[in-house]
Amino acid sequence: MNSRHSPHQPRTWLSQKLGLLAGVLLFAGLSPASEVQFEEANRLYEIGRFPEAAALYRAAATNGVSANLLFNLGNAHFKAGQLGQAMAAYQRSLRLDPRNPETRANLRFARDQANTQPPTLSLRQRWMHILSLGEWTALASMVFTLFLLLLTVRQLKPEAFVGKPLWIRLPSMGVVATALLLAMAASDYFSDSHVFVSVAKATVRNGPLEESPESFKATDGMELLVYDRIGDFLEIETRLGQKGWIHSGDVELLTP
Amino acid sequence: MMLLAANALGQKVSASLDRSATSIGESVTLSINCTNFSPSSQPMLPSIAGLRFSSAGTSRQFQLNNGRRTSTYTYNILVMPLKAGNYSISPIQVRHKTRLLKPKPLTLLVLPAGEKPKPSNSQLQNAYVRLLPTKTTAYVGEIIPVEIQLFFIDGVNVQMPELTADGFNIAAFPKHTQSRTQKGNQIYQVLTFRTAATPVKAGELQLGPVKLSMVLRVRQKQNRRSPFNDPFDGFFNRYQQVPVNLEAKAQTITVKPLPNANKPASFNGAVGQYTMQAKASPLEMTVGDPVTVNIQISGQGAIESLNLPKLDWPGFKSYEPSVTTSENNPLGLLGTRRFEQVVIPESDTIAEMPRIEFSFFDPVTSQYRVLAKGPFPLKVNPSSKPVAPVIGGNTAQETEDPDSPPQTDILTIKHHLGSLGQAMPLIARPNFWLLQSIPLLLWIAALAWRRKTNALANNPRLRRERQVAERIRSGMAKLDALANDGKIGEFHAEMADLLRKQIGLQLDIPAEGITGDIVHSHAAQKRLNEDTRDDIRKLFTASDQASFAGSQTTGEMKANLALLKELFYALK
Repeated sequence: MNSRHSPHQPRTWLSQKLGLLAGVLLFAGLSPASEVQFEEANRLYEIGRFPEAAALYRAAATNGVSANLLFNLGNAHFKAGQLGQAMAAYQRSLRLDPRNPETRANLRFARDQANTQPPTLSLRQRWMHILSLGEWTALASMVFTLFLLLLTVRQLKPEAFVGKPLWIRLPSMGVVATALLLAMAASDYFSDSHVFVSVAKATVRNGPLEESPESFKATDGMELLVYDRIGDFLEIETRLGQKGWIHSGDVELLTP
Repeated sequence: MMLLAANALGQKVSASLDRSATSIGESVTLSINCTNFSPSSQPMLPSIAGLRFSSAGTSRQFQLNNGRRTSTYTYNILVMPLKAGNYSISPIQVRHKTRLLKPKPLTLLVLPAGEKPKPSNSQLQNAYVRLLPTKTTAYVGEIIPVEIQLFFIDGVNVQMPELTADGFNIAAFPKHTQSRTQKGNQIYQVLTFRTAATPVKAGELQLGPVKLSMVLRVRQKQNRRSPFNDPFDGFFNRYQQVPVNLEAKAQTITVKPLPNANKPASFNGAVGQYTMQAKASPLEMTVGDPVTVNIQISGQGAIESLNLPKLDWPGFKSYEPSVTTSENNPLGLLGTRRFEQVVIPESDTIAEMPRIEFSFFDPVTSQYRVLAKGPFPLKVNPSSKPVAPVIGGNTAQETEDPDSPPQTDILTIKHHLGSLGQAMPLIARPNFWLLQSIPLLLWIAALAWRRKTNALANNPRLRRERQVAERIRSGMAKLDALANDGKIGEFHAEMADLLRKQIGLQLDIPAEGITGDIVHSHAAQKRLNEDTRDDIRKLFTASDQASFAGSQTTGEMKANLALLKELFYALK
């Protein structure tokens, strides 16, 4: 059987293959098992078995995360009375979907319950939090790719760019601007060393040893800033300015 | 320690150890000095189990003293202790001609590995350390300033003091201060380390001992009668570096418990002497509006650990206060701690903000004291709509829509998983950067292509070479087909055209109009050899004959084609 090839077919084939390659490269390793676990965890949540639901959401999150999955994980922890873990899950969800009003509302509600205030953010940080790090990355990548494609076309058809200097200048300014914004967003993301106390009363000690004298108690949901780590202990500071060492098992990290 | 064996001629032998005590693994130097004679052979050393001797070289020294010449031949021997014990190094024998000279036995104390010999009295005179708490009686939680003073004549590598203080919280040592002082005839350098000890339990507690290690620089004693010493004293001084561990004895501190009598309800452990200031603003607001309470506690004590009693007022919603501390003393014993507390009145019936109370135990008067400010009168106006708690100065991401009703529970779960992605951000994945490099590679390829194209456009010779090469490649294939088909006219026209193109390129002249006579031109004579010129002539002649006669066999055309190929090969 003869097949008729249109002139556009090779290009379509190439774009299909490139799309497939991009998909394989970026989403390799994600398992459909998460969907099943998510559904089952939702069922457990609906019948009030919150700790089991939280465990199953966590299991699903090992195959890949989504803002909705982390939101539900936060809800399950909240309902199970684990404020710190709930707040950490909401915060992680907001990292993926920072404009989600429901996640923001639940985090605010959990903070109210824990009687803590959010960390004070600068104007720049607030502005940077409009987009997630993934969105900043995609934006910068898009602008950079567009810029490079324009440069490529200029090499192939220089006559098309004669008298049109803005065709290159504007995208180049866009590349610089988005690269700077991406660098700031990445810096904020990777330097964020907040943790949440995840047990009812965590002992904060003077030193990084079990034998170190107790300094004060931190309550569930309290947000702490981490400065250092020695063995199983994290050097932390509370919003009150109190410093000490807390066992890493007593806090929930934002990085899974 | 130095022991001698001498005779009337001034010939003597002495042996000495650089120190009389050491520990396993730390070698000492044994020096055997032979004065006014050269030994006939190496000194003979005893075989002692637990000590190993090895040579560390020899030296010779001459001295003039009142016209008398003295020579000293010194054997240096390294003594490595392998086992702890008290050793007598004997006999040491030095042969001089037929006589055997024997210095008196030496003793060496070897301590187990890791144990340091106690410093000698002379070393103790060179350095010592003192532990000076400012008081020996205190209350639990009361700060005791402590000074550790190190006195030494000359030394280096002073380590930070190690203060043993069970039952105390010890503040970090800020930078020490340095001074000089005279004791008797000796000038001492004094390093003063200051810290603060806070007892955490009552009883007779031991503060100390304090240990400190350093390296002393001790001037070695020299023969005062040496002619070299007097005029150049100081210039020829020799110093020995001696590591020492200094220790000051523990001090007993009597720590009394805080009295239970008259303890205020608001007491939360503050010990010291403090004052308090407080203010609230605004004093008129609408229900749900925040009121900021600024509280400032100043004084002497553990400023950094002061906490405000929780403002758990009915009718108010309160948040964690923000705290700043300014210390006027390196040890943090004197300063100010400021608390900024936000409270929100939840009802318009509230007429005042309750009084703020801070209590502490004053160790000077041995009494509890209560500081209080307020109450603060408030005018709370009713709100026309339900007000959500919004904190001024909080983050934008936490700001709530003022029109929404107060949230009473979390919003329920989501039933769609949504797009699943890796937890690792895109920017941290190598695959992302791999994909991102594709447009970059495209641009680099286009750039390379553009450079190549420009190079061709700017080089007519190169362009002509490529055009001729292309023309000859296609023309040779065509000639082969024409020869097979027997198309004589077209074959020879094509062959002549190819010849003209190649010769024109070779001689750098226009191809049009080139004939067989070209071989006689000056350029051809110069650039082409005789055989090549003959082949050109033959091919043009064959082409002319075929054009005029109009008959030629396929074999002849094939022969011409082969000749043409050979010619082109030769020309390349």
